[in-house]
Amino acid sequence: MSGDEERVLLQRVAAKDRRAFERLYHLYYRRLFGYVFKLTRRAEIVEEVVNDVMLAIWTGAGRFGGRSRPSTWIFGIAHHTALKALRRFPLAMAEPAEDEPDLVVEEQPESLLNRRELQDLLGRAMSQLSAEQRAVVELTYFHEFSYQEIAEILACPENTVKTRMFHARRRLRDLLPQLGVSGSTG
Amino acid sequence: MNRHTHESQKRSHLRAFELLPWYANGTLEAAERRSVEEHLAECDVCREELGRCQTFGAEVRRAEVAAPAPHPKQLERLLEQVEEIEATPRAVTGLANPWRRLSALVAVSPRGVRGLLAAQLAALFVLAAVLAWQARSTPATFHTLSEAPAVAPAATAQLRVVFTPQTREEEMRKLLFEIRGHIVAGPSPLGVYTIEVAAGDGADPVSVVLQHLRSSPAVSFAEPLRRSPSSASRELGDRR
Repeated sequence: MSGDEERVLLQRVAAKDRRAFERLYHLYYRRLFGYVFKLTRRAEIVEEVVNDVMLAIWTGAGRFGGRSRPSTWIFGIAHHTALKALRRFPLAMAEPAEDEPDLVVEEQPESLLNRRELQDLLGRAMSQLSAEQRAVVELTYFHEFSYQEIAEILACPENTVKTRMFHARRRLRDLLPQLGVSGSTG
Repeated sequence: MNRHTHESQKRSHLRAFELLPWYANGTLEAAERRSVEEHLAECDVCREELGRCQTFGAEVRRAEVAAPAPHPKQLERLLEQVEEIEATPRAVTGLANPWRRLSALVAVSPRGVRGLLAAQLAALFVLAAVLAWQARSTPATFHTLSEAPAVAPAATAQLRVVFTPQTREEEMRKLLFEIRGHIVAGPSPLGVYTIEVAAGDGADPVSVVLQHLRSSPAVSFAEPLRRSPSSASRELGDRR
């Protein structure tokens, strides 16, 4: 569905059209689920967060100015809601801080690691990033947003997006030599 | 090469380096894309880094979360919550929007009329603001006589519970019996159950129920489910 078609859908939701709302739900459910899960890494709260996001879309669709793309508006709500949930339901163990010891990584070349091991390492490396860093990485590579759109989603300046990505890349370089991500900034 | 040139080269290198992830995902606008390409032509550090961004990006894209298809029951519940929200009268919100529209209207009026129109609209706006403010502080005045109370007094409370993987059905039932609860939804694909227990007069406080659940080795997660969906979404406020 194109951005324009989604815009129309949101307008219909703003007019309290239940069918349009259902359509939007099916359109975004998997994406929202994936993003919220990757961001929070807490299986048990993902469903409720996605539910809250949909309700926020229902009540807030009238406020969507149409200045941004519907997807950035929706992801912005998802991001905000997920972070709020993380604060409301903190883990007994705090999220890994930036200065915690790096996870021990075996220096095996990629060819010796199978797909699953690589994915496993990626997952663990990502959990070593802060939620905001993880968000920038996910939104860039998985959801393929521009840095300007990411700034909208995260409600922060564009330079902050670039800085977070810069730090995330540096950290990931140390954690994942297997992905050929080693070396200096030059 | 003088120092000034060196500094500015370093700056343009860092600028390009910073933008590489978005060059890799193809979202840079024409001008920035061109300047990154120009820099790539003469910087092998950045060419190498671009390769890394692309490899990494490919790996991130492969990390598909097995996101379940939305369960029909979940959608049903969501739509019920929507109806609950719509049945609840809310105070007037969104004053900013009418104001923007009004000021746009003033801006397009011919000069002579503009002042008068602006004054009239300002007066109307003040009136609307006063009415809205009054409404916000006494939401009960919106109820009509024929309308049932918007939110029924809750005689039950709902909890979200996740059991540890080895828990047998027998243990689950025993716990449910102990807390006089029953499953109203679940298990979801992630193993979350929604459990309903009595609340209000005569029933154990929810905190006691949760404590009982959490003290069991069979329970890995237990939290109350927020009761009012309208308060949950109102909390979010204006997201632009």
